[in-house]
Amino acid sequence: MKTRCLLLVLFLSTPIPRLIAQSDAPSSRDDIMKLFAVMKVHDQTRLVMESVATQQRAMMHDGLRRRYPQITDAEIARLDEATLDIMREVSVDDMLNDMIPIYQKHLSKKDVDAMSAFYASDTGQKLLREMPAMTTESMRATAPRMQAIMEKVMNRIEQMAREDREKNGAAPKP
Amino acid sequence: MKNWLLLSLLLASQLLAQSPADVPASHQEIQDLFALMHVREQVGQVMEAIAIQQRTIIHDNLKRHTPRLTRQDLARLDQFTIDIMKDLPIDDTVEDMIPIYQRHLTKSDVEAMTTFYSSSTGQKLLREMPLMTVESMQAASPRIQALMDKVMERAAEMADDAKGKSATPKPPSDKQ
Repeated sequence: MKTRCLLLVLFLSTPIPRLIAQSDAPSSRDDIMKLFAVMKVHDQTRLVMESVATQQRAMMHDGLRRRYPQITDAEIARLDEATLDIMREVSVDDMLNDMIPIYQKHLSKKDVDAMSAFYASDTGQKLLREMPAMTTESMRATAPRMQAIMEKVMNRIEQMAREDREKNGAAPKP
Repeated sequence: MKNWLLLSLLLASQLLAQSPADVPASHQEIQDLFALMHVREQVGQVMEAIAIQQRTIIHDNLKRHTPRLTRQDLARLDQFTIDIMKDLPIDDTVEDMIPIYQRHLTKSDVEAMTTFYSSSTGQKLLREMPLMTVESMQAASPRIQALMDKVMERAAEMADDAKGKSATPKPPSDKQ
């Protein structure tokens, strides 16, 4: 009786982990590549890189002009061209290859299937299309608030620097 | 007869234009979607990440330009930044985003997104995405770093050229 009971428990319990295992099956490299294609990750990565490059370029221009006031516009333009050439050498495919194991680690096959279905739908595709503009517009809308915070911090830094100068300027010299 | 036909066409086109699929999403619908997507928490996290990044930049700049500043001064500045961050108007920031989402998404888009993000995969995605993004950025950083090194090398070369040029004596006509 005990043995029968054990067998029954075994029989009943065996398919359950198998079912769970099926839904939790890890996603394959191919699954993630298909998801990336549906989500147009290649194009989006390129867009992000371009926007980072634009941001960095502006910062670099400021830095260069401050440190080397004699630098000409033509030289800056030459640097921009060189930066563009270097950017073109970067392989987005290599970057996506680096990302695949990360997605595999976090997402099961079931997750990838559900995501692929959503992002292939009209709304999913629209979302992918509109999201960059939505993000840019959101950042623009919230920028004045962030600017106000940064101004507070910068004022505080200036105050600290002023205090430091006064402290050292007022101190009697040996 | 012609007028009737025109009127019918106008009515039909209006009905088509007002089809439920194209109805704009309401303020409340976007608010509900944001709640489901934990947008408030995400905005807070992004702001915190920006603050940490800015703090590092500010520290570096201060150390370079005001080397006399002590660790205590920097700690005071950090405390001040933390205090400011605590008062961040996150709700106002999220409120600023609502009309933007309303402009881009219809009611049916919001419904489809709500269905997806309510699912176990959708919720898992929202939970895992920040970590996935950080790990992806870490994985990509050696390539980005190599790229930045190349650009900086090029910038340094150009700066050296510019310095060399300014060291050469200028012709007298330049001064006039």
